[in-house]
Amino acid sequence: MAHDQPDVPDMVLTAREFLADLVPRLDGLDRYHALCTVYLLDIARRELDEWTHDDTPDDEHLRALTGASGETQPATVVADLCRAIRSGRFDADLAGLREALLEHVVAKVRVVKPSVLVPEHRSADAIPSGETRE
Amino acid sequence: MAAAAESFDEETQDVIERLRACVRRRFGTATAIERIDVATLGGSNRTLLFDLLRGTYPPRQVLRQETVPPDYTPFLAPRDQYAVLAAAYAHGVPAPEPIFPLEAADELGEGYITGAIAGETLPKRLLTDPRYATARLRYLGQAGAMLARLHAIDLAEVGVLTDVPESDDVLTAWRAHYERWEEPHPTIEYAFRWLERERPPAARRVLLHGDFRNGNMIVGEEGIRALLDWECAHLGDPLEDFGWFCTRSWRFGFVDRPAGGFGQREEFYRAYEAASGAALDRAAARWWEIFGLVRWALYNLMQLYGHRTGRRRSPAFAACGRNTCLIEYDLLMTLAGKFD
Repeated sequence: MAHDQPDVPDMVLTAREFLADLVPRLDGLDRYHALCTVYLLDIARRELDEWTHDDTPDDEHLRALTGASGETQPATVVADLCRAIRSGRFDADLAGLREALLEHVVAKVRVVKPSVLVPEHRSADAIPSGETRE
Repeated sequence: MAAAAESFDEETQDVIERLRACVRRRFGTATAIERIDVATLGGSNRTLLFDLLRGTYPPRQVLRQETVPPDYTPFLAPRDQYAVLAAAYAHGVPAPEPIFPLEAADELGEGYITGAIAGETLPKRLLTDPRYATARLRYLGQAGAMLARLHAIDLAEVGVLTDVPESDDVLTAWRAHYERWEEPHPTIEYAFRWLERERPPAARRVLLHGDFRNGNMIVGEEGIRALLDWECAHLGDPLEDFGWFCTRSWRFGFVDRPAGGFGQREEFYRAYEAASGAALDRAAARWWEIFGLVRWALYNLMQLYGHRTGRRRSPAFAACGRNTCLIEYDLLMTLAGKFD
């Protein structure tokens, strides 16, 4: 779906950069495990290059909102939607647009930090037990 | 806590050497700096605290250096921040004493030096630690009175703010920032549309702090000691400072206490009205809280921009990019009337 930036490859790269910078200041087992983690993150980055994503309900929802065809990429749909809102295309029903956008934002928050959602917006399996606060 | 100079990274050690030369250039070669601390992990500044040893002058000082590249920062140039701080300080707004702005010969970039003030700034600690129980009771009254004093300053004394885009039209200025950071967000577009259509008529035009919120004040057990962070100062509607202070993001989890997590809006408004004699429009204040949420979302996009373009890559700024949707959620729920 049309998640925000940074995308997954960039998040993996960010973690890799941080760890690689940290390595010279670590000793012993910590240093060894940090180097191994850098190695694993490099593998993960290369494997991500092979991945393709299936459309999600949010992608379909945003396409329906803009009238885009099924082939239009999610990032293009988002940019088109921004232009349409700015042009005033949704002015006659801004409350309806707000409800549609809430659905889109809830889909993003379910991935980023589901614990902030009110109960009606949570899905049963949406809250991983290991969630941490950034 | 002081740290030995050799415990700092190479970049910070370089800054310390330049700082030593900077103070000797002004106060003589016998001047020394000691007890150096790096005080912040801040998103837009580097802050160093140090003792300046010269005669009987109060020794503890602060060096504040800008770290956001000027080509995409929305912040006031440090020299202008210094001018606004000096005006506020001269009018009795509790603030760090301005000592001197940096100059090109200092080779320390843009920034300035002020007196240091001891105390606590961490919002959650201020909202929960029993040590600050008295300060909490006084906070909104003091904050309201402080804003009244700031807003009363003659605009002729802060002429450096006249040409700031935010002083001209704050909504237009923030749309321009949004364009610059190249990250299309339908919810931000919708919010701009809503703000444009629902905008209340402008009230008075005053000197705004621009970042008046829990976290930007140094607090002691007895109450507020100083107002910090002048990089967002501009001219505009006094309600902008109220809206930002009460924005949901600045309640630090205490969402049922809209005024900074300390209490209710009304206590804050009344303290200002009593000190200033000016009435505040409660309905218009809500518009400024919505604007505050948009502005906070956009600061997160600014940090993402620095990360994505490689100018300031960091895990914290990457997280800012993904956290933008959390603010969008607050924004939509507030506009739907489900969050207050």
